[in-house]
Amino acid sequence: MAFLINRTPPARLSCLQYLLQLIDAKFGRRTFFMSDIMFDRNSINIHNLCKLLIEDKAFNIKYCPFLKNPLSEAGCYLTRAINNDTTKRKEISNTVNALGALGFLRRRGRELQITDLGLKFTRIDFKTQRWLQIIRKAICCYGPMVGLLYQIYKKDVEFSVSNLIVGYPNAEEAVRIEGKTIEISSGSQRDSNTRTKSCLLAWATTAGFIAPRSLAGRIAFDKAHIDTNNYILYSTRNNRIYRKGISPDIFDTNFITEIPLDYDNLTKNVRALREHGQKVLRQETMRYNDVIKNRRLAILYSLNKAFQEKKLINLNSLKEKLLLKPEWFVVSREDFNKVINVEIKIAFVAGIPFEVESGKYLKPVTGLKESVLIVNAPSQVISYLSSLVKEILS
Amino acid sequence: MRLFKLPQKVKVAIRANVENLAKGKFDGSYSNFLVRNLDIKRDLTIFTAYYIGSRSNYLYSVEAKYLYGHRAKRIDAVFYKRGELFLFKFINNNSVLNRKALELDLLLADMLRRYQGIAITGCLVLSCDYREDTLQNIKQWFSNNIIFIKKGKIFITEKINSILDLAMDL
Repeated sequence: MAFLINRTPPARLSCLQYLLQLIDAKFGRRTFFMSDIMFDRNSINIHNLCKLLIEDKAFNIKYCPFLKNPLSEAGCYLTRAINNDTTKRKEISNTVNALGALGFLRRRGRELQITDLGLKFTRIDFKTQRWLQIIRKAICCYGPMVGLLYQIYKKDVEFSVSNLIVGYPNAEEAVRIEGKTIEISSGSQRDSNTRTKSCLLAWATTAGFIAPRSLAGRIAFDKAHIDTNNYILYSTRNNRIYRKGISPDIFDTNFITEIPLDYDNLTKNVRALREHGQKVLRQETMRYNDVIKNRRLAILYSLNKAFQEKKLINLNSLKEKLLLKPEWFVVSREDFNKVINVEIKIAFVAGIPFEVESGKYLKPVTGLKESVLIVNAPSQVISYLSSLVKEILS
Repeated sequence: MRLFKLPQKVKVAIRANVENLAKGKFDGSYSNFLVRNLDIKRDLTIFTAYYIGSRSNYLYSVEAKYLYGHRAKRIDAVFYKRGELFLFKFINNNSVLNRKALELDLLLADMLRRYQGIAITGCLVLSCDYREDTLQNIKQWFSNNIIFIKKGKIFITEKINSILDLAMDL
């Protein structure tokens, strides 16, 4: 399972390593729950392992440098404390998702378990090249990172990060309910995009794939994680202009994205649409959630088949085929053409970026691990997509 | 002359709902903070709340929540005493002065509509450089009762009987 991370604390991979060390110390290969790794002053906790803590001798305290309040009961910026503000539970969930995205944790329902790669990573010294090699490999497994790296790959040596796409596409699709027009909330909000991008850019910087312009000429790419560490540990990283670093070497090969977004994560968590006055919006978005997931799955599944067979997708043919099953793929027939033209951007988020050829053919640049993509996808939808795929490839 | 030393560990009331504060009830929690540098907005907010709270009998909360628009707004600090509610916003940057002042004016208008019989005052605490004529200009377009407070004035006041005593003469 891979989620779209949308909080910034896991941006610091050294923090994630300390958390993995805690998991190893507490559970080894045994399964555990999220709450088991939240900061707990009364149990073994990340403060026993974290080397980033700041010591204030006058007040006899050691604290996480990323928490604004040194006396905060939260204890750790990555996980927050078990007894802390319940609205901060998103942090631990996002951190666990980040560890899953990198292949360091495995998730089955609510149960979590460290992977072999995760165990290996806990034992590697930050100052070694091996650390960097593992991180480079791990971040290139994660779908949204692959999409981001491809966008960077297509840019000039020096580029602005402001128009990089990292969130769910926003098709601005509307439905009429009781005389009112309701816009379905299927895309990421701007603030969420910003947070996702901040985390992914930090990972890419640590790996040496990019570097903020302010550090240009000061980074040796064989020890990029060390040379960029001070920058990564800043409480805010507002650089907008970056330069390309070492190439990830994944776009001119038969690269397969190992951890793409899976079916359940092809839309944002709409249960979270709980803001004041959003009841109708939430209801309507939830009503069409499966349709949106199905059509995004159709795009990704077809792209992956095209990659496997080294062919192109005819986008118009794909649209026609999807229109034949409106109950699975269509919210509004009138807007469908326009909506799919926006929805195809899901490919960059899920981990299978593409090129457009002759205005209507999509050519995937990487493949993705189909067995991960289709987890929990309805079998009838998969069967239908499997049957139509031959007719849309050319 | 300052009446305190920094750094200082303080315990302050946080995250209460304005709705309850306006009824004289506190539904938030208490948290410890380490205040080190009053040039940092967060430290200034925490310490001002603590300072006024400990030198008066105002009920107060930092990061008070108020349901307004899309989602609950956080107001830097709110103080309440006997039918008087004070909303504090801290401004450490001239460029946000207009926007913050306007936001506060809108919040105030909404609260006055909801909480009848309560006198509500907005307080803009300034720790940035400002020009008095700019403040005069801004003051002209307020539709509600909003005062400016100089950061320095708070911290030389030994006993705070009324927050209104902290207002700048404009």
